[in-house]
Amino acid sequence: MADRWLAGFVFVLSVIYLIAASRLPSLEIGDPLGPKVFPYLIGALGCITAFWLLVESLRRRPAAASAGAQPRVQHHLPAVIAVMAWMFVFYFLIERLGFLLSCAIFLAGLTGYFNRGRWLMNAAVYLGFPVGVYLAFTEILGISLPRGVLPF
Amino acid sequence: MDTLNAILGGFAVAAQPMNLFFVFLGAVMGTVIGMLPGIGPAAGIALLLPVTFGMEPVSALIMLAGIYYGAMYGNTASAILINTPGTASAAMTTVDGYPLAKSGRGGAALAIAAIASFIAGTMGIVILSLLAVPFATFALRFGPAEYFMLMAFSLTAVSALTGKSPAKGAMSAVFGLMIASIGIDLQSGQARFTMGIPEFLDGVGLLVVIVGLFAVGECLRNVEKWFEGTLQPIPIKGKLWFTKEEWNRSVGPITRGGLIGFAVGVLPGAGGTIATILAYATEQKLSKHPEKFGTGAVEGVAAPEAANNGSTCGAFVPLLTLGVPGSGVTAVLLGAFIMYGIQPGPMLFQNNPDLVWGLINSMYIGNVMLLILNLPMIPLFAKMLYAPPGVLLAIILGIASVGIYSVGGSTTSLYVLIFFGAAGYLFRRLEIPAPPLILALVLGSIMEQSFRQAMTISGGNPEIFVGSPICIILLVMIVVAVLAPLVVSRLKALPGRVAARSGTA
Repeated sequence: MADRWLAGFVFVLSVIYLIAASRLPSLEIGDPLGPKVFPYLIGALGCITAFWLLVESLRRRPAAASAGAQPRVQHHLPAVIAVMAWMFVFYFLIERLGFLLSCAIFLAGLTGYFNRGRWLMNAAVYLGFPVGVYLAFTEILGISLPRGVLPF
Repeated sequence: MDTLNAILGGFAVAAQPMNLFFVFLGAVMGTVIGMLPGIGPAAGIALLLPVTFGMEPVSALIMLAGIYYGAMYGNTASAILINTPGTASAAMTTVDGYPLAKSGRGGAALAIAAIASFIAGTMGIVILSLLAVPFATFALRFGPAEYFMLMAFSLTAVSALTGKSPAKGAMSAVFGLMIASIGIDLQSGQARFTMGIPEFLDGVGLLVVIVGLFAVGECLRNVEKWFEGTLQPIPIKGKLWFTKEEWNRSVGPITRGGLIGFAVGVLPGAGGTIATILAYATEQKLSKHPEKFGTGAVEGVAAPEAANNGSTCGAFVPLLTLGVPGSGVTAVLLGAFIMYGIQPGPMLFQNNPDLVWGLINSMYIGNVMLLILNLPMIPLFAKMLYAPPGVLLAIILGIASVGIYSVGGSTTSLYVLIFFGAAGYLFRRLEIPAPPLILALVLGSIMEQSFRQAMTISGGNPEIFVGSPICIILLVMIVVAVLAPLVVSRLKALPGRVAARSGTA
């Protein structure tokens, strides 16, 4: 079923892409094709793959019922979304608080949840990693990272 | 004669102390990256690319290549000790490696794997050196139409052969082409599909896509796996060496496996996984005791380990001589070349022999280092398998974030990273292969350029794409690539049968 949704999504995406391509202004100076033709091909290919997947999923149906014995990883969508939201918080704070603080908070949160109870090891990670990376980037590689509210 | 001088010059480059250091660094990181399930060479190379910007291109490429073939050594340990391949191409090693470890011959399995990797790797470099110049010379005849067809072939093969569904592979390639078309069109100066985001005028960065799809996507997947707990590794028992009898049984599989691996590696799309399956199936067929396969036959470790190392060397042939990668990892490497301002391909051997031969010859040294790292020192590395997954997860996300921020220089690229991380997670859930996307993203603009050049030459007549014998051969190969999944799906069923019979699936 998921495959049919995917096929539908890719079809809609390809159509939107084709419409966007058709609205590109084309200046045909010295280039017979202009900037639109290749995107047209890509969009068309997208529509074809959508139909192809639809056909594939319709044909696979009877066979799939018998081969469904494989062990599957359980889905924990809320946890995945929470981790993405936590990344967003980190990125939102990176220029506001500075790299050292925001990264330490980010790692402390992750290790505190996913490596529960091992305080010493976690502290080594969320203090050691940001400091190590900060020093390596600013002192050795010469790449500056946001300093933020800290004075150094 | 020129070639011989160039090769010797390459040794001089590879032997510079600085470059020796970077081979070593690449080998160590490759071993670690290969061993840790969940992070493969493509993500590993992408994660390290940002820190290589200040380096000499030769040194950087030597290190990144070291990660690639180093991962083919490292992926063995997790396959044998925790029954989980460190990267996909070690999947066949679990079939016999894990039973060997369970029966107390883990040390022998690791040792034979390391030796097989070393022999096949070294063999592969010799063949690569022999083939490189003839290939490059041949490729000089390619015009834009031939190049377009070659890239189309590579993309078709990778789409058709990675993953279970060719339709999803093709879909992944279409996503890649779409992303590649974002930004300013080089020929007309027209901005396309930027969605009003100024950062997208330069196109969507290759790194952010790769790191998002492979590293962040895999981390998000590992969040789910974390809830199921981890497998404890089997401690390495016995000496890290094999008996004379085990060695005698392995010589043939190593030689054949290495050659099969190399040949499959040269072809786009097939790559390490299919090479290992072919090598394993060949040995099973040739063996007097095929029933032993799957229960801990040492040949079943030697052949696929040789094959995946042979295939890495083979994969360098199209990358270096044609400038067209045939897999996800080599696409990332091509991305690295382009970022350093070097265009691989036939001209590379003429214009930049020190770089290309320095890179190739560094692999001999890298293989020696890897043998040492993976034989006497493997128990040390195997301790990594005890590292708590929660810590690894946090550190990988930390490295990904800081790397992307340092390259993009703005938080916009970080938000794009979350987007592609989510995409990578969905790709895994929906079983869409990511390598076609990466390959299409790297090749997209080059493909469009050769397409438009060819059409300009022909005055708008598409017949130019079947206008030369090379084009027609490539067209036939594209058709073969489309049909190939039918053959491969039968091949893939084979190890399944082996595993089912021995009950170790």
